[in-house]
Amino acid sequence: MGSSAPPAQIPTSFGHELRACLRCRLVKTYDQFRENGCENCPFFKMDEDPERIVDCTTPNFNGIISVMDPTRSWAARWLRIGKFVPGVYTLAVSEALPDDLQALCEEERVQYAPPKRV
Amino acid sequence: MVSDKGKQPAGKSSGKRKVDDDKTGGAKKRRNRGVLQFLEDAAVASDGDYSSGDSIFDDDFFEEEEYDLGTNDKNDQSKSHSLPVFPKEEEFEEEFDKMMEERYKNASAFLRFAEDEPDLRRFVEEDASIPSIKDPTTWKVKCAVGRERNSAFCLMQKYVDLQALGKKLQIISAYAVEHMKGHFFVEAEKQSEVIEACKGLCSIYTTRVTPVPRSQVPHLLNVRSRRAEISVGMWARVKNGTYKGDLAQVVAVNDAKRRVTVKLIPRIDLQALAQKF
Ligand SMILES: [Zn+2]
Repeated sequence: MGSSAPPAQIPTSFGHELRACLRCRLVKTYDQFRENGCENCPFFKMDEDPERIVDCTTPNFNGIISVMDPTRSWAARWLRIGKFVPGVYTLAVSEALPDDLQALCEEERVQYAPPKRV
Repeated sequence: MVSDKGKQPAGKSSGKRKVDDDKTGGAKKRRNRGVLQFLEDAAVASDGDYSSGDSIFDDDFFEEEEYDLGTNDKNDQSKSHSLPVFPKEEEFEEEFDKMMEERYKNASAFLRFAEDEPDLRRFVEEDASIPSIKDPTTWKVKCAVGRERNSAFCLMQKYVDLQALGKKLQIISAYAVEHMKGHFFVEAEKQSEVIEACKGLCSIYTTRVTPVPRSQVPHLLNVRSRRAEISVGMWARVKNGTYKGDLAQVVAVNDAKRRVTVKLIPRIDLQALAQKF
């Protein structure tokens, strides 16, 4: 995915309904995840099962980064989101992905890095 | 006559003292430059006092070069000023950057080696890397306090809107970190691109766009989610309502719903109760 990749949905509101994907840290509203899932993690199928949204995303995150050009952004690379689509991400989430979903990532052969511990 | 007699020895002695004083003063200056050059500022400020001759050092110790002082003194002072007291920041940064690049230029070798150890790999990556000269510059941009996140959101929205029109916003990323009030950061090749991108967005002050030294960029991004740090047993202060300002203790945390349960000492208005009965 280069800078030509179509961007993810941009959050339509900036309030408490914002959530971040626990794997790729994409930030959208709950409704956006429900309607379209996560652009980077389609295998979570959040758009098919709303309960997945609760498991795969979190409202607890710290800092916001809008990545227009992931391939050229040093910050995106440092945050390990340089290979995802352009969009709004968070700098850090607090929770780890539940074990069964981590296993799903392994099955799908996609990388998952749990949040840094203090 | 009497007064003359009295003046004579007094004049002599004062003249003698003057010589001594000069020595003391000169010695002090020399001491500043030679021994304590890092304290130049403080020493110069106290120059007015040195005639008191209360030197804690043996003046003879400095006697040898006493006569060179006159003209060299100024030169030496300015030299020592430009050296330790005011290091040039940019030079410092460049030096530091070079050092770090040198030290970590083989970091990729470490990375490959550590690939199977996620924790180790992360550690190496974090500590090893700072943006290189080839990476875009990070710019610190001033905005209204409370509009940090919003500024980053708006720039993304603008990027998408322009893209739909076949135009390109030239900035590479925009981010807001929660511990930086009144500022957000933009990655872009040029300052002009930052200013252009922020045009038309209110509460962003494009007159205040400054580059962030490369070595400091990782520190900006090194955040952890703070909200998770609230745990049972912590103390909290109520911000609004009846119990505003009161101390509370957290008894339960629901991360998913972003709710905590706290216990408080009930406020019982004894006067109101007394009036009631
Ligand atoms: Zn995702």
